[in-house]
Amino acid sequence: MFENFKIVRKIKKLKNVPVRNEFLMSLRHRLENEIRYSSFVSEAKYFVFSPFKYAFTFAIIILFVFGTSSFVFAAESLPGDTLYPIKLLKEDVQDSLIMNSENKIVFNERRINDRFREMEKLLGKGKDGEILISLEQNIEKYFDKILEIEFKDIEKDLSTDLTSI
Amino acid sequence: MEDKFLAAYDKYSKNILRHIYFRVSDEKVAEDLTAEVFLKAWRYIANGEEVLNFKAFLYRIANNLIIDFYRTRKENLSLEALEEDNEIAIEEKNVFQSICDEDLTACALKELDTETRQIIMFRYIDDLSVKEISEVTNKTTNNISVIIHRGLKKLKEIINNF
Repeated sequence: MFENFKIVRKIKKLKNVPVRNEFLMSLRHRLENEIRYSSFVSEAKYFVFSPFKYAFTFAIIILFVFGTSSFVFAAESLPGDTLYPIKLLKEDVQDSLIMNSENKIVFNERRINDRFREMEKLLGKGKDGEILISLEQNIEKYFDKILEIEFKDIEKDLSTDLTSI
Repeated sequence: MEDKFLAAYDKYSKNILRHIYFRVSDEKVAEDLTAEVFLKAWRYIANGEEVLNFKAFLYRIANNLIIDFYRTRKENLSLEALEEDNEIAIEEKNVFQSICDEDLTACALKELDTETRQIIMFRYIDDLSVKEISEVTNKTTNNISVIIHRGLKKLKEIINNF
């Protein structure tokens, strides 16, 4: 029994035979790439063969059709209408995309005029109360925005003048 | 699944490479076969197949690839043998020949028959359990135990005769 133990210990010493670690590291990288590639392929396969593909495509079409038409219909909506928040959202997005301060002022002036027009239409329909208050708040918001842009421009001009002195 | 596979690679790759090297005695061939072992294993798992014992699974692939490697070599050499009208006995070579001068146990292992040497290596160099060896070699656990017992006895005799 003891003899066996000694032999086994000697056999186990053969574990010390060295192997090339650089090879093992490069093989690991190769496997990582293989794994990444096969995950990509299986995801693509899942999409191509999955029944969800049709549901997904259908959802995209619905979103596109309704999304576009809702923007068109929202343009004529008045406060209190279902589509009115979409109209405001569209204007906010447009506003955020304008970089030039002059154009920004013009755009917000147009928004103020639009809100006044909406106010007139609502009054014509005999509506008042909270809807009109929210319109006034929006108009104030656009005024503040214009004032803020103008104030920034004035500050900028002043600092330019001072540095030139 | 990917993380588990890479963790298994970190754990067993060195042992697999060494095991193959011991059996094919060529560093380059051993590296090529090791790469094939892990690529095959990954593709098997990626296909959604279940693996209960990853260690035994890797050694099983390695064992099959080594057998294929010698089979292909034997076929090629047999053709040459036919042409030259020579009888060439091809047997699994082992690296123990090259380290025989430095290590007496390696010398003794070289003297064992291929099957016994493989099983002794699985058990004591690769630390596979008897059950795992039976999974790799398709032999019963009793059979494996007997081979190990006889192999150690034979090794003892060989060492005593040196």
